[in-house]
Amino acid sequence: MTRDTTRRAVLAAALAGGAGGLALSSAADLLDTFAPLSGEAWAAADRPRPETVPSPHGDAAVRVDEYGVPHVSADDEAAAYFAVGYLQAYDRLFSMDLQRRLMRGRLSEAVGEATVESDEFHVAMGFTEAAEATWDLVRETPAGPLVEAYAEGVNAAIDAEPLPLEFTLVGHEPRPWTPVDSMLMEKQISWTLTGEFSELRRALVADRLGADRAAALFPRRLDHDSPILDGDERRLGGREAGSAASEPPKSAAGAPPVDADLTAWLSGFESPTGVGSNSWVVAGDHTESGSPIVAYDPHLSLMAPPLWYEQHVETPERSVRGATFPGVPFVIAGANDRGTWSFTNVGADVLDCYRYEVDEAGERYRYDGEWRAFDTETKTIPVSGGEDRELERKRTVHGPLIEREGRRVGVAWTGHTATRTTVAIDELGRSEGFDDALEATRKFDLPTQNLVYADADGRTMYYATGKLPIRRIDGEVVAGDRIFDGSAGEGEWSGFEPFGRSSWDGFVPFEEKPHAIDPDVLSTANQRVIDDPRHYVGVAYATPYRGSRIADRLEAAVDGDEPITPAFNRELQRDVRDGRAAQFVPDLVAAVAAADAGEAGAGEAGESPTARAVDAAETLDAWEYRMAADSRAALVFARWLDRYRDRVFGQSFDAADLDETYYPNDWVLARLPDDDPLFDDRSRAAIMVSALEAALDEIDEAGWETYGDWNSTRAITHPFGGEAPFLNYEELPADGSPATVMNYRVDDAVGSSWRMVVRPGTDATAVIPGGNSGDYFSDHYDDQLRAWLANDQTAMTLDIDAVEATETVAFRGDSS
Amino acid sequence: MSDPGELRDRVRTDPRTHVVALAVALALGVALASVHWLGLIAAGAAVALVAPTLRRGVAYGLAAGALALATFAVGLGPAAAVLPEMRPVVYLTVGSAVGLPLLGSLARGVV
Repeated sequence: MTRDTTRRAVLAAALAGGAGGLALSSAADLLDTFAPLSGEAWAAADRPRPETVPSPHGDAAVRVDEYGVPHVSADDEAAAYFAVGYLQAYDRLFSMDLQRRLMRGRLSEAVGEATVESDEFHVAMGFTEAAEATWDLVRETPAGPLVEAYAEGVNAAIDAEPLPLEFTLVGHEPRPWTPVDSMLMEKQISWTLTGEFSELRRALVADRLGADRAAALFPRRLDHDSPILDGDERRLGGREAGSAASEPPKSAAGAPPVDADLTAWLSGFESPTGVGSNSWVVAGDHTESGSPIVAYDPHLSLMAPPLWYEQHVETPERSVRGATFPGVPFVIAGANDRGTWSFTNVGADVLDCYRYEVDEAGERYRYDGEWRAFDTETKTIPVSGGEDRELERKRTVHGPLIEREGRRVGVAWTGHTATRTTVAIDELGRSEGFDDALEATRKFDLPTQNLVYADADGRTMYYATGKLPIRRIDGEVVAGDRIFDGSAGEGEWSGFEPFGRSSWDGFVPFEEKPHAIDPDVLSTANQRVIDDPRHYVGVAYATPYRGSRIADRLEAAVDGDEPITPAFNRELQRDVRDGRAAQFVPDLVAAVAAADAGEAGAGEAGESPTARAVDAAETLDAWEYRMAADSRAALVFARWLDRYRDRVFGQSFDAADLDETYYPNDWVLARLPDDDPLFDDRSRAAIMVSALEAALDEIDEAGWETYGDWNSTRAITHPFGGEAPFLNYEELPADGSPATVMNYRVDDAVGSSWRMVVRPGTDATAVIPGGNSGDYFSDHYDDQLRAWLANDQTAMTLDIDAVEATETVAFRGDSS
Repeated sequence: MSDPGELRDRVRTDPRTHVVALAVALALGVALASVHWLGLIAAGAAVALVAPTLRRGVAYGLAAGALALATFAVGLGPAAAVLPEMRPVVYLTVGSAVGLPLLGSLARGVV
């Protein structure tokens, strides 16, 4: 009896203790989320697309195709954009909310302490206030009611649909969407493309290495002959572009640096390394069909789900299909029934930095001969699971003042005022030909982009969009790649009103910006726009590897009477020849051969290369410089180049307390003369050979066989991929490198984020890196990943009746 | 009206009553598990209490977990196909489906 009682007591205690312990421990939260049947996460697995949705704006019919692309048709534009808002939220609500939180400085409210510094930066920069100023302007335009209808659609989806899985994982719910949030998305992508503090880094490098070395290692103009414009293109009014250059603006030398820590901190909020794009247009005279062709692939962050969202909208006023960012109502890059348009980054300088004389209390700054109080406001940054932070947000006449540990820098950015980019992309979607597109381009205030356009009438166009500031010191025009004395009124932007409405009076007039009317064959790959611009544009151009490769292949096709078809253009987008390899590999092969032959100075410390290094050199020698996933030589080259770069720059830059983010680009590295001071006590050949040995050590240790073993989609992750790795995409081998036309940067998770080839008015194809849905449980979460790797594009039809619908949604107005 | 002890013995020993009671306990258990994860423990306890022995009760508890898991997978529909890829959270899902009813089945040794 006693034993039985004891046994019962033990079992009862185990049961009560087990259940109670689980309920009171942190395991309870996990069980609340993932237990079978009752787990909150599983609600997200049951999100069928609704068959009918009530709409306050009238009827809209939606056909969803086999890739999850929604095709919206409506008689009323507001009805169509209510549906677009609903559908984007259904597919991408978490991405939209995350970007909104990032830009508003409210990430920590959801994810805790880890993002406090990001929030401090974004609050200090005042992106939200800039978006509010922008909405005040946009709401007065025809785009305004459509943006409002879109926001209503987003909110209807938030109310009616189960939230995506990520909201359960984070444990927060989205606030209602507002038109200002859509304007914030415009600011977000503009910041990604133009928000850079290179003048701060440039000044720091000049201070640490000396002005001459800085000028040699970071030239303001890369020595190549592949600019976008030759200078002889036709311009507005029929003039040619050449010989219009005025006196070149003075360079940046001499400005003292801002604090190194503040520079490094700000650099952390710039766009990822390698953001860029390819686009080109071939006029109908050179194509097989006689229609112009535009090919486009923007190189932005690659992630799960992708940055872009594909949609198609058909109303009596437009039939437009293409890619947009979730949160933005209108197609940004795509095609309508008459034309097609695309955007690559110019690399223009539209952000300036200012230093000020500040009083001891840090409350006033010297300006225009008097002390002025900073415009200040205390902002609260909520922190989940931590103490909320207070931030005193300060501004000067130029814009935000970024202050950190007593160091300050003033910032002026063209995005800090009301901009009409939303109006421009709305108008591009409704454009009916060249004149409409040109008019829309005038309103594209930000970001500075290489617009490449073609239409069904055979017209083509290149235009550098965005407002370009003109700076002066003592009345003389100067370049913007320097730190200005804000207290002395240096480099001010006339006609610019931060957080208000600008007149843009003192900016480069539209007609004087780089452009080409009806170019024959023109390509852009973020390289220098033109050798002698009439006005200073910037110095942050990409290396010319992609640009010259595209131009060479297009030229060869045109000269060789190769039929230029959409298939040719898609194949060119898949080009993986690396121009860096052509520069480095012959020297590397020669260095190994010389060391193997025992020539003095070839090997480090006179050592002979190992047999595997000799083998690797032979493999490289027989290679055609194609960065293909199945190539052994590509693997060796890629890993060697990283080692070689480190060995060349590491010593000198370490000594100057400059980390690898300050290293010069590969174009500069490839063209360093043998007698460069970096090789003072070392031979270039010896460094090449030792870098090869180190690269082979790494390859052997990792067990890699071919390039794709290292260059894989492992870089394409979900924001929560660390905690929930199943949200990341499958790991697959990838072609391409940072310098190839088929662009892929495994180190930075940057690459072709959308590819399209369009014959305006005829046909189009496209592919997205992953899938159109952000819902992990959807078939369209990653259904285009393999097709994207192969650039196997699918038809992007504008004939809504030709769409084979796998699902339909009926938006019903009150009268239905 | 029979007393509770007599009823308990009947559901544990009379085959027909036992089957009916077991079916009711399984249905009740899955219903409770659909409301809260503590329901999985309750499900294990419910089915074990109608078992003739503790050992059988533990087996019933495992069966209740399997039924909960199967019901869950069916309820997910097509999304169930990606469930095995959802590592590591799927381990928690499956582990709780097995472990919690097992814990609950210890009730058979108490009553």
